[in-house]
Amino acid sequence: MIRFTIMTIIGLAFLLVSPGAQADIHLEIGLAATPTVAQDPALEAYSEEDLRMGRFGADIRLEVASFWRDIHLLPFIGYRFAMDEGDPFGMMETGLKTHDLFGGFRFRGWFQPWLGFFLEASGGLLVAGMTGDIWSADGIGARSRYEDNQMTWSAGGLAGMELRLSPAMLTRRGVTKFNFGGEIGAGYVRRGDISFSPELVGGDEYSLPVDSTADWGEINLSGWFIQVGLTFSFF
Amino acid sequence: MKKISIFYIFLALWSATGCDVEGLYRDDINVRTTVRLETGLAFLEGDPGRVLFVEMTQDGVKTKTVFEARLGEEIISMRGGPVPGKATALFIMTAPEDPRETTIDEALFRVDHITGATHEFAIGSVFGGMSFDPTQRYAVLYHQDNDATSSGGLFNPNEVAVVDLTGLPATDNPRILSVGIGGRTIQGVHFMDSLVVDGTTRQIVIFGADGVIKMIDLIDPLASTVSVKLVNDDDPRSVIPIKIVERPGDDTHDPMVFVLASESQDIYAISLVAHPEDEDGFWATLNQYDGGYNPSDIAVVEDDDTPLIVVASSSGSHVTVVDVDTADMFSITLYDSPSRILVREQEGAKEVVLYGDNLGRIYFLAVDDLATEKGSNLDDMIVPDGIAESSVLDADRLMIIPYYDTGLALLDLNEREITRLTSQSGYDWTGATMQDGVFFLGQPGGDKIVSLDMVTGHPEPLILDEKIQRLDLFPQVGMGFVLHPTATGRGTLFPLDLPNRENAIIVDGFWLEGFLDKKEVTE
Repeated sequence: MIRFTIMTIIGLAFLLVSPGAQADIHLEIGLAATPTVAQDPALEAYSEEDLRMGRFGADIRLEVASFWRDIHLLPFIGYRFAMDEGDPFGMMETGLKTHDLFGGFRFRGWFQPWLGFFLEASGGLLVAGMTGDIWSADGIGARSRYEDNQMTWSAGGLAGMELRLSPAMLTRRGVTKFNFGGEIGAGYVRRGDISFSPELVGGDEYSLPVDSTADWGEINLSGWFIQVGLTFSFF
Repeated sequence: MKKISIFYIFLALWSATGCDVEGLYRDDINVRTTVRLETGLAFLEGDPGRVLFVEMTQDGVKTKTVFEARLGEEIISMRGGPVPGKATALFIMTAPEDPRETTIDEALFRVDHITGATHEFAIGSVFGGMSFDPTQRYAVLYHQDNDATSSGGLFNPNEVAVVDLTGLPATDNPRILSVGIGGRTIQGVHFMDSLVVDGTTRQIVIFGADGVIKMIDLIDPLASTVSVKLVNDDDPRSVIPIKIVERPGDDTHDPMVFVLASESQDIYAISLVAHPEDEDGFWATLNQYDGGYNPSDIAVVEDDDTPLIVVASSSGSHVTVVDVDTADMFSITLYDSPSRILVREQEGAKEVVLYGDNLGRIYFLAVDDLATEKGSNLDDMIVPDGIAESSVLDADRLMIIPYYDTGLALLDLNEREITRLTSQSGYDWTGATMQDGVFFLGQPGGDKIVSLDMVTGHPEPLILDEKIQRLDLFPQVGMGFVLHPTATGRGTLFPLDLPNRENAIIVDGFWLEGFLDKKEVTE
């Protein structure tokens, strides 16, 4: 993971100082829905009906270089948020919130002025927070909620197609500083194991101390995903 | 048009893959049986079943799954043994989950909860009854009335399995026997202490049925069996043994067992003698004594060299004493009808304590010179507010629930003194226990543990954060444990010598330990 991050940074630095002959440097803001199908059935503990994680978020991309047959390079950073709820064993309502913070680079080429493809690689951190509200904890001092936050690494890849408004058409209409488009793609994100051993909270200042709670075990949120997004380009 | 088609393809793929769930965590935690072992609690959960052991330590608890049903197998029942109240092993009975299952046989598993060592004994049938002999060597499995429904059609109610717990599973362990009591259902199993019959030590177990008992020597169960008919076949009464006590033999007399049976006024005295035809095994001769009106409990005591049967009655205001040698009997008139007997040592001498429910007094009958004094050595003690219920708390104390009060009385049998506990509301005192001179009460549904040091007389309440489901004491590790109904598996652990809130801790999540790692499909 560390090696991957270092190589990414070096690569980006090299590219930034070596702009391609046809570089069209501009900023892009992408809004994306990135629903992910987790491979680990343990997600059922936090998801009542399926193994889907509905991730949503945004990317900031910067086109910095172009090379070989007009392939464009766009370093980017991104954020995704997901929230799921479950009721394992009918004993509590669980919640799982994940925050993906990642960076990477996208390679893009245009078949047509308005249609292109892209490949993307990224790496980053996943911050996962879980809660569990126990329905049967009954009593004045009863502690009725589990809480835990854990962090792990993530790395992924994405491939897809992009659409945008034809630059020629926009130029004819006098729009030269902005473009708008969309994308659709599919990819895979690999994540490290998360071990939840939640703390029991609640009660009041008189509640008995909690000596130990259970180690729930490990969950892995790696999985396949699709991404549907909108792109706003500023030149 | 093209981009719309691609979008719909992705949506379809997404929907198809995301809906595939296995239902890993859909079933509620369903605890079927809870068994207290010497150092912790074992829970039988779910169907086909798994057994979770929660071990108590002074630092907290440790949980581990000690047994799980195999594929095609289901757990029928779980017991602790072989010592009641101090069980060190689990005995788990299993059977095929489906009658058509051919790879799984009925089995009894002995599981050491500490080491996890498991031994499988093939028992061939599902037995509803199971008893352990006092020497902890044998377990006897027998059928009860409702076993017929799980037998698959062909059912022998007289079939028993004798498991030698000191041996490993083998073709002759367990031994499957038919006890031959004429198709009657076994109503109880009674173990005798080791008895020497004609110079041979025998470990006799007695199977009681309606009108008959069957005695089997566990050391040699195939050769040494004796049946004794208590009544004639046409007797309409239901004469079922309810208590059996023994009198060891010596140079002057043969060993005897005495049987108290329902719907019978007689005490059945059975002498165990050598086989009359010099064959292997032993023989029995039956004698009967009049036990007085409506006998409810018996005890055998020795007044010097005179063996006496003391018979309590639940509805006659008397206690009956029978001389075993002469069959002479006499009754001692009482103020009321104590139905139970406790034989104990008092200042180096044997004493019979007569107690029971709905009484005004507790009675003490000295055994020395009982045959000659014939009741003049009877003493009694009036219990203020009467006795609604009384029971043996430990060897030196009776617990008495007063008739006219919501409190409790503890009778010190050595000092013959009563300690009164008062309460503003009624408790279910039947759940009370005594440990090392400290009285503990934790009422299911309540939210506090009451402890009373019998030496200092100081009561110490332990207010809990949640309601009590059950209270268990583990003197082996010096800890007490309150199980709460919280579904995650939660309890309060406290030291027995300092049962207060300052030293109590919450332990939580027995049922959640490692559950994210168990990713196999369970349904």
